[in-house]
Amino acid sequence: MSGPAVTSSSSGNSETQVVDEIPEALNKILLMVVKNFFGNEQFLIVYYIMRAHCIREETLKLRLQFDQKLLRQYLASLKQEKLVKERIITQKNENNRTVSIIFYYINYRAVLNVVKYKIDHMRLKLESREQMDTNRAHYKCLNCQKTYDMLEISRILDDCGNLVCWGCNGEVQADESVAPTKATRTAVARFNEQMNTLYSQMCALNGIQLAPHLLEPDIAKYLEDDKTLQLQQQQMDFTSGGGGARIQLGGVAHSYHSAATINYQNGDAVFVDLNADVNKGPVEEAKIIPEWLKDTAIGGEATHNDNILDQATTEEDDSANRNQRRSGPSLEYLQAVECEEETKPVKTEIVIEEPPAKQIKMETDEDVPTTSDSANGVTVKEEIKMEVDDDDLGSEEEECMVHVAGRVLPLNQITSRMVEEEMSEQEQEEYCSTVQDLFAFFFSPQCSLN
Amino acid sequence: MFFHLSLDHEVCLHPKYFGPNLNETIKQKLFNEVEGTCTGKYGFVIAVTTIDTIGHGLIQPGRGFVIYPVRYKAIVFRPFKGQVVDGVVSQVNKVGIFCDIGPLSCFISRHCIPPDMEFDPNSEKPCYKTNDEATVIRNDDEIRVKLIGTRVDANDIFAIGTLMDDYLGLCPAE
Repeated sequence: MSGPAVTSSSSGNSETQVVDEIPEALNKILLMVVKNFFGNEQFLIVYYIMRAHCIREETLKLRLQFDQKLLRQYLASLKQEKLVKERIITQKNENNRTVSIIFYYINYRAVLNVVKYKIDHMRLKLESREQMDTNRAHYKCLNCQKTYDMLEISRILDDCGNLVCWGCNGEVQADESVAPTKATRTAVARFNEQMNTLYSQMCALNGIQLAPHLLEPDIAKYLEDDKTLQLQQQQMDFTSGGGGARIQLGGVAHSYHSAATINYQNGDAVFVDLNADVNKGPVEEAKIIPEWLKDTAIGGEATHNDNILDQATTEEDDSANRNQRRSGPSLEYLQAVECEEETKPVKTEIVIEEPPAKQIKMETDEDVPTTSDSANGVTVKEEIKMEVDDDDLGSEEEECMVHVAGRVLPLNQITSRMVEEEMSEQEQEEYCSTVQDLFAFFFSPQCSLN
Repeated sequence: MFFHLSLDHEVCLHPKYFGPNLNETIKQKLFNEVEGTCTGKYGFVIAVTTIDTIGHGLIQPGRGFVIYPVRYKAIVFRPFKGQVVDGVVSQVNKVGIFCDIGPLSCFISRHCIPPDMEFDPNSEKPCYKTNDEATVIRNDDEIRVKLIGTRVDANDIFAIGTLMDDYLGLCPAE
């Protein structure tokens, strides 16, 4: 809006100019008036309507983030003041329902006249207030407290020039407490001074006439613009990143397959990516959770693997293969699982997304012999290698001691041979319970798998 | 403000005036009775200019007096709020200034006198004057006043005025 672009300059009167653009002065007047004589909310509303020329109610609400009820209240007041006009259009939506769309635009036809009228009213009001202040009771009888105003002074003035009460003949004196102040006397002058900027802007608009399309904007055009804008907005909302489809009714916003990922970059910052599935590209398939890791494995409690396992790690010198996950629960259960796994040698790697400090890599491999249960006559070969970065966990390892043939040894030094050959039945039971406890401790629900 | 109006009046005449100078007597009596009076509706009647009609006299039963309805034109003065008028100071005291605007009495309160003018009761004539005595308002001085209010009674009008506006106050001596 860079000044009034004059297109034609004649309409009977040679001084009248018809302009194709809203004059800068008119917008300035409007904003000045709204800013000074209305609230901030109304100012914002008018500003946005003015910027958009013609704006849909929903768009206005979206931009201003006002409550609809409040917005309508403000708009009603602006409409009442004849600054804003509305146009309601009824349309049928895709569900074949009739909806009404409300458009708002500035009432440029009336703005200038409204402003002039308001200013005149204010001036009149100030004048009448000034006069009232001047005519107010300024004289008071000291005897009967009766008050007189200036117009009554001829009644109380005697021949000697003294003021005498009409009722009690007491002395009447001027009451200084209600005397008009300088502020009341100069109110109109001050008002004219303050309105000077407005007057000058009004003078700039003398002889300017607005083109008809400015007075009544073409709603159809704005309606189409609005539709394309909405479409773009929808595309931006739902197809940003180029992947995700719009969630249908009854759909799941975030499932395991399109899950939000939480990355612990360091100890303090947590990054949540809701569009991780879109942003990442090809995602690794979810790891198969071993049967013994499920809730039912250890009385519904163990869902976790942690560094207990590395305490149970044994290094068998004769065994060449290692890295098999080991659970602590019951040896019978472990046996069964191991047997299953022995039949299909698969190397699985589970990566748990946790802070690097607590990240554990577990590699399980089969055919690693270690643990055996001589009591049942079944040998469970197992080796678990766990790399634990946290130093705190190491200290816990050292605390776990197991009795082997009367000797006390740390848990990580126990070999399967020791368990099979050297341990007594009681020691084996003790060993099993220790391992179970540690397992339960490290797979407690506080640490959950991602 | 002055107006030229057509007014009506009834002249009551004693039977002793019935004779060849009846019309002159009626006119004279009209002038005497009308000029200088004040009505709330039209203001002060300043002067009768013409007598349009003198109607048929109506003899009052049991008295012998005759009432002549007269239609005449007169110049009237009706003060209005906001009007600027010239007046002559009639009284100066601590509460303000009284002045006469023709038949109209006007009071200018101390609050409506410019604040740079102060009341001086000790001078030869009580007056309002500026510190440098460049402007002194005392009795019989001509001042220009703006009327800020009028009180209209049935047969009287009283006005209040102000000196606090442009070109008001003491009129320069000619």
